[in-house]
Amino acid sequence: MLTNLVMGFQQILHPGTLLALLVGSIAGYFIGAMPGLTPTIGIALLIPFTYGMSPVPSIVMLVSLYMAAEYGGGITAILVNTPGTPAAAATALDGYPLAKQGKATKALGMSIMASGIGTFISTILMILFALPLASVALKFGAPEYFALSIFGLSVVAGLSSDNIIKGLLVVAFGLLLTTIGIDPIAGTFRYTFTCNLMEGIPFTQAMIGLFAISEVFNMIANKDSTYNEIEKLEGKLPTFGEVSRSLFTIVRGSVIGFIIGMLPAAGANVACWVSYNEAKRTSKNKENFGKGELEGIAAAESANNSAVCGAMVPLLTLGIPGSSSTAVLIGALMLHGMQPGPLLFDQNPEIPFSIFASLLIAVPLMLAIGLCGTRIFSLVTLIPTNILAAMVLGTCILGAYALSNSMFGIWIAIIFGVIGFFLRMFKFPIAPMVLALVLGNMAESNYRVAMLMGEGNPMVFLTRPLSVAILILTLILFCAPIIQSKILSKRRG
Amino acid sequence: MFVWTGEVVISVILAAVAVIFYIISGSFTAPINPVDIGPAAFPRLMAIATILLAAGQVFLSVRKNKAPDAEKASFGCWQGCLAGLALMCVYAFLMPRLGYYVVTPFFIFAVMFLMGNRKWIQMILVTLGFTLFAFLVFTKLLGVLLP
Repeated sequence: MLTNLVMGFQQILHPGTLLALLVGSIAGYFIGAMPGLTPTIGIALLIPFTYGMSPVPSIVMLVSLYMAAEYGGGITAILVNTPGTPAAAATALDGYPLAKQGKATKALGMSIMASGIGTFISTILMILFALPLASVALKFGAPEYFALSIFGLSVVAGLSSDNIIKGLLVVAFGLLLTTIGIDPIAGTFRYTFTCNLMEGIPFTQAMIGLFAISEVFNMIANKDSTYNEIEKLEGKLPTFGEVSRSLFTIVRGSVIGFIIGMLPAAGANVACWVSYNEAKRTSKNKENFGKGELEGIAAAESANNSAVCGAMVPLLTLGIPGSSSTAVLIGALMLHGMQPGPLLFDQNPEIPFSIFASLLIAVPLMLAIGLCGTRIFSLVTLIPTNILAAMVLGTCILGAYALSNSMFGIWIAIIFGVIGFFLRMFKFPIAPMVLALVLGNMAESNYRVAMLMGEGNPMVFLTRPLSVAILILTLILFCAPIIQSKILSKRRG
Repeated sequence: MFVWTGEVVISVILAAVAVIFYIISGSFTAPINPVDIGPAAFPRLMAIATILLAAGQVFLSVRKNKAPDAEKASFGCWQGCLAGLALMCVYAFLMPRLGYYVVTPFFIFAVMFLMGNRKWIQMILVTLGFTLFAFLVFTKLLGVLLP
């Protein structure tokens, strides 16, 4: 393995490959930051440019784009409450409040450091454990995926600790909305009043509405107040003490992101919320979460970047994509005459080990570009609110259209913008709705497949060890914040 | 308006939508496989959960009403929000009819005007800058076909 890794580094330390790494990283930052452009779109757009390139630089460019895009999504999440990628939604919860306090540089700095450390840790995990862990990932069937989706939804308890009923209500409504579309098992049309709804509510456009457009409505509503003013922009990056205090959170988030990222169809969208919830649950400053807590940013960003490496484990070892972006990467590999799977390590070991080496080299590169850019990016917060609102709105609507090439996406973003605005005004949390939209389809389809597997017997969820383990963990994690807050209020009383 | 009033209104609206979803689910085809719970089961479960939780929230909110220091909701400039919403709807309506590059400059300009900007040159420059950005990045570089 060490020999192959050295070979991988030799492949990378070549001017053409390093240039490809740089181009991929910069393109990834931009694509990740733009709402409406996803890493999947970025990889698909860049593949034609790799036709004339040799396999190693082309794959390295695409992988570095994928990694940088997950960080890039956090930039706009922090600066303008517009997650550039769905996986950056959790980053916005604490990043944006920090930016409004004039500490955008600190938030961006923590985001890039957590992303960099997360990438490094998950790359090491990938190098050491890719093959054995891939076989565990294969054991996940419908019961385990259902249990995982319930596990993901249990995060709502932590996201709505002020009023659990509000959080659950928003989750239930979000799950109800995910039933719109064609039934995944029987193919029945459900609530498809228009043909545009056959694929259900488009998640990214809904997220753009819930976060960004609702925030623009807030800006308009408060245009005459000091809500939008930042008195002073602090250009300070997080201190060594702040980073080291969040180090355990980052390491934990990296492991969580790597494990969840390995599961096909779970991925960074789920990992960021689970990591965020765990950080909040175990933090000594849990009251600060949602108001600008650096640990919250660290948890979300380390997880969503680690999930990238996690998603590549089943891709490289088994030829099974762990996410939509890795599904497109399969196309890139096959374009260059390679078949991802177990034989890739035997027949073309330079490819997987070049990817490992490129990810390790990408960490300092990403950190350098990101840290140099933080002070420039944070100047966005000083843009007058009227201009910012117009830019954000224009970009969101453009992004919502670009995702589906259809006006329907724009209408969904506007409708969810209105929903998000009223929910926020009356202190309903919107993060649980995002969670429900992410996990709803996964929960229902896997529940029904599991019941078919068990011939109608719900014991199918309790007779499989992995499923039982996840469900028990879910119960503990769901009840823990509620029990903790009851104990705390008794102590205070 | 108090926050608790808004909570009640939102809970009632969510419950009403859930009721509609529940009623419509009655028209879904029954599953062929007797073991499958069918396409109506999950929507009904979520609809019932929404209704029960909405009822719970209404109860909690009305109980808050009895507190003497009930929190007031701050709408801010609600007329501006309505105008903003109307602008977005008009923009989305006109975009496929007149074209993205025809309507967008007016939209961007109008949003800044709505937010109180009266520096005409600044507004024109920002409008032109954004339109150019959209053209260069989305149309030229990414090949996205805009209306």
